[in-house]
Amino acid sequence: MRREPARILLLGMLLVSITAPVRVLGAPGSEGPDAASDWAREEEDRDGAHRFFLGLHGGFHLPYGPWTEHRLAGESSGEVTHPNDLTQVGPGGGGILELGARYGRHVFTIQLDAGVLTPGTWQSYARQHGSDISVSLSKWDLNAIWGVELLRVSSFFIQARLGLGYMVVLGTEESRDYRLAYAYPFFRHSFSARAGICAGLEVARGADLLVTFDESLGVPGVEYENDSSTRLYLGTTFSLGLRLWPLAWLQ
Amino acid sequence: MRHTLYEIWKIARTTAPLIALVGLFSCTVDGCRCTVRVRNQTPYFVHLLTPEEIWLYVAPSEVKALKADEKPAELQALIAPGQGVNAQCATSFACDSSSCEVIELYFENRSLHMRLDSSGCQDEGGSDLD
Repeated sequence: MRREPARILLLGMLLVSITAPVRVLGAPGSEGPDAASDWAREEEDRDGAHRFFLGLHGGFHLPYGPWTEHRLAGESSGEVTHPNDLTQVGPGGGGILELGARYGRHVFTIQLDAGVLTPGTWQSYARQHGSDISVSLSKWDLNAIWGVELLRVSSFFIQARLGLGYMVVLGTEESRDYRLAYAYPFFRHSFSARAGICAGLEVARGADLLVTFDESLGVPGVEYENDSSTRLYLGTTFSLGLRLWPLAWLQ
Repeated sequence: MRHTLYEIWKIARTTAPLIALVGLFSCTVDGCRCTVRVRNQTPYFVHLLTPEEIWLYVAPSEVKALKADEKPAELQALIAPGQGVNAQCATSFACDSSSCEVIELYFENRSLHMRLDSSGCQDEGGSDLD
């Protein structure tokens, strides 16, 4: 919880860096507008083959914040007071598919994240308290992402990225005691935003190896009918994968 | 043009509450729609499941309004998992019960029960649904 201000600060810094003039970190073009456009034109000429790409990544997702807390956390019911650190959602992982295009230093991407989340401490806690349940959680996130290249040194580059999209978290709980299953209605379909940074290295002709770090949020996130607290989706995603440039192979 | 838009706005403003009222308790080709209230009188958080809606973690003393129509639908109530007690019960509910009645959930002898509470109605007594 206390790490959130630091994360928000980081998001702010990323936003500032992405919206600031792109001539940072000593990149070509810092000499003036004409030089910048020349640099962009040279890049395009050199990288005509690097126009369209598709990427496949494996990701690790770390959710955090109030949305991960279980509804019973800190509540008393019957003769039991439930622990404050009872969590509904835990870390997970999944795959990321991206399709995009590059124009000079700007990269536009449509990205689909699909993955599963672990049920936090809830499932084991319920079992310890006599309820035989099984929880399955999944997360879907579709984003349009704008990226800008901050640094390029030979085949190594760093990009900042900013995206907007739509996020869906789905959860189902199956109770063997009651012999029924029900979907979690409190996970709301949400608008999402993300900001992040990625570092890449061209490892082969038309193939970049990318490491990406993204902070994401979803609004409204989790909503309980009888609980007015704000529980936005918040999470950090680390991913590692390949970005492929098919036109580079054809030339 | 501006005048016409203003007229449309005035009509919409007047009719919207009426439409909302009619929608709240109306008879259509599919039948009447209303809400049936359920009160959790147990010391536990409960789940309420109907074919149309799912209410999870209804807190002790909390009241939920379930959508109902003329056709009886099944209401399943269960003590939410993780509280050391497993108990459930079910009943059918429909619009035919008076709007002043409340279905009360109570916990007795380690079992979950439902009964109709008519204390909010005049000259009516409670009846057990079990």
